[in-house]
Amino acid sequence: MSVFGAQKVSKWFGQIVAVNELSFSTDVPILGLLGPNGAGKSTLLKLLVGQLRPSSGSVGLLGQRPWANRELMARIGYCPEHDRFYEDMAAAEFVRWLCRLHGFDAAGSARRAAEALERVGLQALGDRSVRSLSHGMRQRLKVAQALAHGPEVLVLDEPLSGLDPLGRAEMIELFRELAASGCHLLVSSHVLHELEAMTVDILLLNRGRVLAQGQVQRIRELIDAHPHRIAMTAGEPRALAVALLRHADVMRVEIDGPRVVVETRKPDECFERIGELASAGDFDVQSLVGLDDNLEAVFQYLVHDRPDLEG
Amino acid sequence: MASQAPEREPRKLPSSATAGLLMARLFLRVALAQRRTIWIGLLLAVPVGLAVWWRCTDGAGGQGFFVEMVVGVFLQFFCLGLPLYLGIAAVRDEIEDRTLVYLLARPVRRWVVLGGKVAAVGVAISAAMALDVVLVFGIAASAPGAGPGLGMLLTALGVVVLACIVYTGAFCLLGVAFRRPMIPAIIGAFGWEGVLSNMPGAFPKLTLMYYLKSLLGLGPQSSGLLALLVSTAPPASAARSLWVLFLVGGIFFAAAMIIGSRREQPV
Repeated sequence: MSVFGAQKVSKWFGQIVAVNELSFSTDVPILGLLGPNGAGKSTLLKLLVGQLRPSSGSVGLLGQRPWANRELMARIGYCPEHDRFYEDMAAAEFVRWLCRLHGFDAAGSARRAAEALERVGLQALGDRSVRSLSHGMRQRLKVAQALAHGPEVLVLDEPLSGLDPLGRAEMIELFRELAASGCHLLVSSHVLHELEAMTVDILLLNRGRVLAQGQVQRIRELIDAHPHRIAMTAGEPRALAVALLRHADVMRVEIDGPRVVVETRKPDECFERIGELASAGDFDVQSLVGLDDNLEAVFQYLVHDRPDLEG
Repeated sequence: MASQAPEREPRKLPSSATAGLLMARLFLRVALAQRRTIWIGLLLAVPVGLAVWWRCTDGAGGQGFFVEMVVGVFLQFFCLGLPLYLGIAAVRDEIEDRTLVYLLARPVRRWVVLGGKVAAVGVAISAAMALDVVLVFGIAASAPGAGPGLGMLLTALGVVVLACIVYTGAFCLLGVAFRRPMIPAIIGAFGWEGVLSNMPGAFPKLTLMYYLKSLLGLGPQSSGLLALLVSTAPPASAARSLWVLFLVGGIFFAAAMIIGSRREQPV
């Protein structure tokens, strides 16, 4: 039984296909759902938490179908993407009400709301009306309501959107702690480094389809043929460029002042070669960085450069 | 931020009755903080204001005035208008505000989410209207001449409350059945119920208003030349009226719950 799964699930709204025969299955502690705006991330999450019904195919959460499944709803927490609340309520009251609907009594709900607000760093703001909270605080409040009842699975739609860098770091740390305590998380984002900071397990979506699934390294294996770019600064950029172009794997070299960017089909060999040249001291190489070392490059390549993957 | 693991404790899911009550309380909690509640309160003060004005100017024959107020103001305006506005709002507000997502992500049956809110609307409108009717009755009864009796008050209260509940069900049904329910609701309220109930012949029998008025002992009325040319349906018996109103009201509520529980959230 996988924690998150879909079997040829499709969801369309009129003539718009939001999710298109999408299949995946995973039980990793944190699954990052990655894709550009309009990729179908939010629709997939809504299908998984039972807010939407599949047009065809099926989805599963903890091995159960989520639509109108109240037993399952008791075990999951959902943080929606949109920034909507009962604005006139106090932050703690908002979480308390939602806890009550999980079957906790008034005292238990109050305790859990206070704990949840503390976990997201809003403990001092529980009495403030939601209307008066900043965007980042409201984002934290959404996470608080999702985790207050102690769910086994958290489904978080763009939970880091609108948070400042410190807030992002704190929330990422919180998500890691939750995963370490046995909670499974499905986190969507279109910002790659956010997901990269909390998980290596990625589901890549575009136009309602899965482009790739697996660990970051495995996704990268898919793109062996993709030219990697390596940037360096050198005292002798032109001479360095000429030296690099002698090798067959080097496809192109760009020179911009002291900066040299090389495109290669064999990044590991190229790195090694540049290291040797640097240590020989012939070209005064001062810095070296792989431009494709983060998920951004993988994502860009998969989405834009391999239309065959988009079906 | 705290770092302890989330606490999971075995617990019983809330029963539908408990969850429905919580939904109703939540709805009222949210509604009480809204500005429109103040406006509705002011609107509800209008009949009392009219009664005070009548008492201060003419002020005789309280029975006739009370019946006119019950039929013309409460039944034909407030009992239609308030359920129309609030019944639809109970359904559409949370969909359009997207706060319904939070409720549907809880271990509560979908029909209970809607049912709790609709029940809260029905009870709130009925209570407010009943208070209004009692106040108007008190003013009418204080006037010299033939005043309304206690039996008339109880009948009026029953009819007004029944009207509020049945119409709330009807407009909630429109709220869940249509994405933009206001136009069909206005046509239904003031076209179908308002106009058809005053048409000659058997047309009024197609309206709920006919059965509500029948409970007050009133039938459709024609006047002048029209009264000579057309026949009007006599009032239905109380038993038949109650039977029709409960049946139709029950169908409205059941249909609203069924449709509402199958509806998805707009993306």
